[in-house]
Amino acid sequence: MEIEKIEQYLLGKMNGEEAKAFEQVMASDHNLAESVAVQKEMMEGLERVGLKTDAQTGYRRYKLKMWASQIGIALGVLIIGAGIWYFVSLEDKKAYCICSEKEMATIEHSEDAMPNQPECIDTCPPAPMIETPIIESEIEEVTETAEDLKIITDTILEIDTIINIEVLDDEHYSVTGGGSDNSNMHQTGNDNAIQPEFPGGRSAMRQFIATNIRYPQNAFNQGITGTVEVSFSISETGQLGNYKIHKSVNNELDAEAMRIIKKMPKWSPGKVAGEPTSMNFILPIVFEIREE
Amino acid sequence: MNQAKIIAQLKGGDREKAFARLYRYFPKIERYIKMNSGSTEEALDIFQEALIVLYKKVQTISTHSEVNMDGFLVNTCKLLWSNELRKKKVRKNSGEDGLQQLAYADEIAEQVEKERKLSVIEEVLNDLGKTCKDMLNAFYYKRLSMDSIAKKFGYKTVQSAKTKKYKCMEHARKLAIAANEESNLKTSAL
Repeated sequence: MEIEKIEQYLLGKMNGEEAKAFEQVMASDHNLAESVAVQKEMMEGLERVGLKTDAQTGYRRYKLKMWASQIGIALGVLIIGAGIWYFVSLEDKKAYCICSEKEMATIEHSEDAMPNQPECIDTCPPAPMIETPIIESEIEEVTETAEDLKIITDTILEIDTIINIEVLDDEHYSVTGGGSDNSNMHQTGNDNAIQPEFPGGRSAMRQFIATNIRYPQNAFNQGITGTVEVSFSISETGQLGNYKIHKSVNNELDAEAMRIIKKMPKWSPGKVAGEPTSMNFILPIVFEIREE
Repeated sequence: MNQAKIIAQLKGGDREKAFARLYRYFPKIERYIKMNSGSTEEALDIFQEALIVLYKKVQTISTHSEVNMDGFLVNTCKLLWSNELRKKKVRKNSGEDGLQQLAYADEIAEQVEKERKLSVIEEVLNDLGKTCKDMLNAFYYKRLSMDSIAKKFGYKTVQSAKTKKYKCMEHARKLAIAANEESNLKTSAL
């Protein structure tokens, strides 16, 4: 077979005599000579294509290494970070508060969260929560209210993720509790509202995001940074759904943030009064490029 | 940077690692090209092309060669970019004249021209279909044995994989001849 012979010749698999004989035929057979030339070209073309692919892989590795050296690990470019907390807001969904890491830490580690709540609340706009006209019916409202729980995670460089439940006001608890005595509700509410959680907790989530996320190439090249907020629901069974871009930066970054969230495994569902309850969650993902 | 190590990697088939190391020169090239009316995208293309030219060069030298790799890479990028600017009809007054004096200028220009011709073949390979392209790539570029290629592509016998590979090459050859004729026609029409 001609192709096979040419291949052997070009790959140097012929012995000296064979090669010589082949070259002699080539010298008199113009068609063969041309076939050899084309096949040689094809091999060079294959090399070129292969080299390009390798160069692209090399470029990805280089970028990864560069990021890693900037912050210590690939976490450096985008960190999921500081505080994850949620609050109740039925009307003004955009209103959310930011509690400093310190404040949240205090709350989280305190055995009785109540006394520390005001610290955090000081920095929060409490109005929308209090004004919320929640109570219309009783039991049915429970789910609805819970669905409106928002969890905001903020992602800040080099700060650990802290998940916390924002303090809920009296009215809210009277709803979740189904209308019992308010003064008791503070306690029960606090004890019973459990936030949904990524399997393995926040550090696992941070790691999951850090290992799976990639900085979109164009955005990286153009230096586009920002915080994409993705909202999604966690059903009673822990299934994620209703993914929406809550705050957009650009298509590429939005898509990447969305891709990561959609890739997440089932969570453990949030609970209100011990009952698994569907809740909404907003997860901000910070895309940041740090110069060395 | 350990130049001998990179040369060894480029010669020894550890190309991805070597390229990853060489990309540390990219920011420098990017700045240069951006200063000369180019974009980051263009800089990436130029740099990639320069890596291929450098790779070919390295195949001809010994591990302990005195060739200054970063100089070679930078010069290649400069020459490639000046070609690009000429194509775009953007004449730069400064810098252009000096380029012919760059080290390795002729050698680089020769390889650049070869690669330019090969881009025709590149298109042919892209038209060939994924299986054929991957298979030829596995054999000729990655230098895998027909045995492992047969396994990888799901052929029951090595012989049937070989037959497929020859058919692919035959098909590719035909496409290449047609493409060459076409580009010759275009050139003569110009």
